[in-house]
Amino acid sequence: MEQASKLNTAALGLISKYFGQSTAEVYGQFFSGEPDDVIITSLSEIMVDYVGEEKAKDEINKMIGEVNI
Amino acid sequence: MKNQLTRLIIFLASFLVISAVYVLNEETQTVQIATLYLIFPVAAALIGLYTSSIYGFKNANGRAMILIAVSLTCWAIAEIIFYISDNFVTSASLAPQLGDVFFLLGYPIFGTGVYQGYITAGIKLKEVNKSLLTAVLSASIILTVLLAYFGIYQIYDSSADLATNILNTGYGVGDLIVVVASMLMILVAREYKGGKLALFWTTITLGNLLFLIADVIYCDMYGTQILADMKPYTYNDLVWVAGYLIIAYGMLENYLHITAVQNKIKLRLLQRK
Repeated sequence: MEQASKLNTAALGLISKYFGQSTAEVYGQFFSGEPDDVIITSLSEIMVDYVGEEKAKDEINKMIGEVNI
Repeated sequence: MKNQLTRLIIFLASFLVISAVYVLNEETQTVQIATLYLIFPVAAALIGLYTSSIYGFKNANGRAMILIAVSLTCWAIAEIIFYISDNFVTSASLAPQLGDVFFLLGYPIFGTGVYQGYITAGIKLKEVNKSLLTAVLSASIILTVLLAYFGIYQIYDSSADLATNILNTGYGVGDLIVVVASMLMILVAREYKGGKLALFWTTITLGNLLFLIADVIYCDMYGTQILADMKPYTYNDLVWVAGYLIIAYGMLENYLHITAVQNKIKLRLLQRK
């Protein structure tokens, strides 16, 4: 649970960094109670579209490394 | 995709309309044409501010967007001041200099915004293609030397007062900021290749390179002919217009992408309920 919460926070941080606070707020509601794989899939989907596949992969892998899943 | 094409056609059509107005009219320095011209910088600033409002200032990408939007606003205010002083103020006033101040203010704000965007992208120079890096560095060095010579050294007048020299050489310094910023933006756009953010940075780069070209033509080459309303020199205004349009287009596409992302997830939230 602690890890899931950390991942949620980290994912929202990444969304806020690239898409702004208002987008992160909407995603905050969507991620609430969702398992890790759903969070990572949703995050990958929007990140690939916006920053490109390579950068999205880099950022998400870095984030996963930081939350230590 | 279809809507994006429609928007692109609208932007192109507006450029064709103003180009036709410039080509078909003998005199281009009239109130009517100046009013038409003014629509473009003002629209670019408003679209920029509207787009950046969606990000807020608390996140890295948002700070870059807002600073770029503020620089567009400074340039739009300067254009409004020039418009008023050229068309409605008959007596000598400080208005043109005030316009210059706003114009010059836009450059460092723009440069800071681009630098923020560069930092946010977290570019590792070691991973950048060596040919691209060499081309970018060589182009920036050559342009810096040329602009420093023609835009600053040759413009500086030792007999003029300090304020006049600051204003006159300020545009050369501003152009140097645009050169360095453009090189950074090329690297940022490459970092996001394949993504919508790459389109945004590409349009900002192209728009500012057009500003640079227009600036050099006006400040260092054909300013006298442009002020005398001589063709084809007056077509230089169209280079500015193209710059404003490309930037406005990039900003608008970015705004629409973010709102589409938000709407998609809002819909999924509704479906969940």
